Amino acid sequence: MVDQLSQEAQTDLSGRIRTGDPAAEDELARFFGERVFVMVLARIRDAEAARDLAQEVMLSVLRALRDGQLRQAERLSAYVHGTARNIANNYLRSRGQQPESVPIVQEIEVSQPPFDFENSERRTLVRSAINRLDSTDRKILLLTLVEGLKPAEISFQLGLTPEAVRTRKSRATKKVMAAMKRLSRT
Amino acid sequence: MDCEQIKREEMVERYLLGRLSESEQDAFELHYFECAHCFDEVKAHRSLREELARQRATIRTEAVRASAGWRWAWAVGAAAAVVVVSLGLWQRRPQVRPQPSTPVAVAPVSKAPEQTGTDHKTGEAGSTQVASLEELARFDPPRYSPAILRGPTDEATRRFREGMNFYSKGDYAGTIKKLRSTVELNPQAADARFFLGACFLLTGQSTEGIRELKETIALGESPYLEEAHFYLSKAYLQEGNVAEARKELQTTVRLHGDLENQARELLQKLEARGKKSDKDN
Repeated sequence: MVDQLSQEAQTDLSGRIRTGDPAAEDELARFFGERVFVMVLARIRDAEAARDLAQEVMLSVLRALRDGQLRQAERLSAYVHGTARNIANNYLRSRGQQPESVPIVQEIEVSQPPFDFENSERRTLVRSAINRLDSTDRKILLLTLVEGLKPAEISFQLGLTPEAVRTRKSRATKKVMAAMKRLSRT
Repeated sequence: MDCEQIKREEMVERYLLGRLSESEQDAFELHYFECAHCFDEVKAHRSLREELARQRATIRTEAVRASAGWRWAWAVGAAAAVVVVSLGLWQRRPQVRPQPSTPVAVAPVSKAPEQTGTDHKTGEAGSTQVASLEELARFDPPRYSPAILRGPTDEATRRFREGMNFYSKGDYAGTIKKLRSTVELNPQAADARFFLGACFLLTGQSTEGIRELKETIALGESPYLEEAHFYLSKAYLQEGNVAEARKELQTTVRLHGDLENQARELLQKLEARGKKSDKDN
């Protein structure tokens, strides 16, 4: 599976799809599928609709590549991104809705990512990492990363200085990320 | 945009919170469309947020316990400090007795340059209490009476009402989020700006509170003009800026509204405080 997509790799992938290589189509879906889903979800904040739109984006890109419509093959990722952005914006326009109007927390609650095996494994890792944190650090992460509060707002709730909140948040995030990486290696 | 900038500017977190500008969002997405490392970071942060959201109820309970513990420890410490200070004052100045605390709410004082005043002048008819800045900066949350509107409402009004639902439950952080989005949609909304300013003060963010209350005043004549001046004086007191607080109180008095008497009283207390300070020096 491709990890980084250089311009050469993008040109190569586009060319192989144009010549009808089914392995190249798989590669395209594996590399961009989740990215497109995450991107569309970040913009429309509705997991169900994001899944449908991500499918639509991938089909549209695939059709264009098969038909040889992509002129700058080395800019495949920009093309996928542009297609995803247009489809997400059309969706928002059709609903007369701004992305900011939907609460962030609601998006998290309904989100069921489409790549179940990898995501359930990641979920186990993150749960284990969160459970190792101090309860105040857990609360700081909840209030910053999920509820979007600023350190000054949290400091008032927890009786800490804003600077202490900032430091603890940064340290706790690093701890979770490091623990996830460690656990994923074992 | 490169990985270093993304890390330095906490772009992954801001992206997932929907806090990047449109151009930043485009550039960041284009970057992670090609960079496996940064996309891994996005996925890890998403998983972290989802798991935190799943455990929200548990985390809140734990933290409340921890917070209550901290508050209890703080209360015991504060009580001990009051006893020590009172004993010291009693020994040095036997004519002084502690002043009963005023039963008003919640605003923390970010910079209280002076120790909590406990002096109460005695032996004079109509004696004046000398309160500390901390006491003078305290205030009750401004009262909110929902307007009854008929007919269709716009998006800004809808968000304002949602925000004020949080306000009526005492959730000032929740109110701030909603009212921020209200004033983005309608910067002329004096009601949203005023309550946003008040909520900032109630959550200890005096600088932001001052900014919003000044914006309310800058809108000119509105039902919130007098209150904005009055609460702006409280904000300045929170910051220890007595001169600006006095100006705002004088303006409140000149407006001859519902808060005129409270503003006069507060001015008198500041006056008494100033005299005591001169005398002590």
